[in-house]
Amino acid sequence: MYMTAGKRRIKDIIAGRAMLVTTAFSTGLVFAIAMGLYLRARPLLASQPLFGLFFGETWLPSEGQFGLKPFIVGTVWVTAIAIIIALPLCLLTAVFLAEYAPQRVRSIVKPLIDLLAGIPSVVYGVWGILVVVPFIADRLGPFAVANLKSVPYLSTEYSAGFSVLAGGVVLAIMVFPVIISVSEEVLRAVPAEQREAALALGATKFETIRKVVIRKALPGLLAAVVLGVSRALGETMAVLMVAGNVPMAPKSVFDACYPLPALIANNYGEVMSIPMYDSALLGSALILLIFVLFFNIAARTVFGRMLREHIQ
Amino acid sequence: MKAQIEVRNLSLAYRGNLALKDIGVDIPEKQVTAIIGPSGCGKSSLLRCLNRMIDLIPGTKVRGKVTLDGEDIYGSRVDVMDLRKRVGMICQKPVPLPMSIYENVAFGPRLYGVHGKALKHAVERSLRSAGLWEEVKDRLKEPAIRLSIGQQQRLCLARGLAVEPEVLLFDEPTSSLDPVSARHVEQQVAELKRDYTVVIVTHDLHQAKRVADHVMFLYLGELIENGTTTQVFESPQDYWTRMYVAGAGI
Repeated sequence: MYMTAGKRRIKDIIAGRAMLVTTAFSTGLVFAIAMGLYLRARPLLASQPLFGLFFGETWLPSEGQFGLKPFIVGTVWVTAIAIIIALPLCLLTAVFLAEYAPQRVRSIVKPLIDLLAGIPSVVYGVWGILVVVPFIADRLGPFAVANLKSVPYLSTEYSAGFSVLAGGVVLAIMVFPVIISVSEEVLRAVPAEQREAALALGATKFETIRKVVIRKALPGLLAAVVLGVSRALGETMAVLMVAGNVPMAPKSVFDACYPLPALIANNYGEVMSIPMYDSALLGSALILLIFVLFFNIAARTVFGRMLREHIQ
Repeated sequence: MKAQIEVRNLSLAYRGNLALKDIGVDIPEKQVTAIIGPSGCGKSSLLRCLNRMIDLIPGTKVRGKVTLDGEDIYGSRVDVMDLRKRVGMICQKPVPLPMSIYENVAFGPRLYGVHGKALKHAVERSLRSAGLWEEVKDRLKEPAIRLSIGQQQRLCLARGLAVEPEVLLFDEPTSSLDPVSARHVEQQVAELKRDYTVVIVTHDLHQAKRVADHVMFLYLGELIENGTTTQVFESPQDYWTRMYVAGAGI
């Protein structure tokens, strides 16, 4: 028995509508969350100048001082360190997997790297406390005290190990799988003809990769980094465990810091009797959300257009 | 007439199947040699054996000998990069590299350390030889992808010429172009034989007749017939060649 055209058309319409609804729901959620945070943060935003919130140095909720600068700076530092460490390592790994590794090696290594993404962040945190923090306290810290006196951002008088650097290292390892996986896919998607064209001119394999394959893959590689940065900006647990959580803007990578997500996770629901406290915490959540949104949009539009105009 | 490339007992195995069987042929210097034959007969494979691009295809095995100016290109002392500089190749589909028009042409010379004024001259000279200079001289900084497909193919030709090769291999260079662009590229090919040895794979018999001095006819991996264009087209000796050049569809 054949179905009638009418029945089939109805199915078609229902399928289309259903997918539209789910899409609208998930995108709408972003706005709903942002709106919710804004409404809860409004009492604080109304009572204090915005400038004071963003650039205020002092965090003393019991006295009504909610300067978020230490947390914003801490977030930026930890994320920056993580990306500085992760980017070269991830790129080289991705290039190796995509261009050099034999099929057999790739089929073993790729799932292992993807597995890294599945490890709970609290495990990374514990590993950070057991390995990274002592290493910084016992080795890198004393080395910096002795040798890096006049180097900006690296000089320190003492480091307990719980620091920007520890947070950055742990985060770097957490963003590895994201950046490597996406970069590798992007590199492998570069058409074989591009490689052939360069090789046929007498380019070596390395010249071909450096001058053609990576160039061609640049927009995709950028997307990989954006994903990594977004992940790093919002990561909470592991960083909270190793960053030291001192509400002061760090001056050196060996200083402790207190990133925004850690602030929220540590305090929300604890001292809600202090007026405006929860408003301040939700305000900082809003800032974090706007940060990630802004970063994503900026990367996609500004850099994306730049790349398209100069390369493709 | 001097042979620049000599192919002797060349066989190519791909995953155990013979794609080329015992090919022997001389490719004369500064002439156009066309390789013709039905799809899958090994035309492109033979072409790729001449600059060792065949090495890039996993599972291939080459036996026999190919010499360029008397030197075996499969010898152990040959630098493949240097070989590919001497034997340039232009593919079926134009492949602009992800950079500007200028940078595309400059890509090759840069690899060999050419820079500054010399590089500029090399780019202009190559674009002129490829018949593209007048069309692009004011837009050298634009991404190459913005050129029309016919212009892109001539850009690829210019890019190949810029490394100053001795031999040029064309793998069906006009098959993805519209008739006008195709004619344009074909004219360039015909002119290039003044300075270069040209080998062109084509499935277009009229094109072979128009541009080639010599023709090789391949069928099922074997070299069936080989001679001047007039010989092969006017008085083919072999049954299969007769059928093919008559357009019988073998």
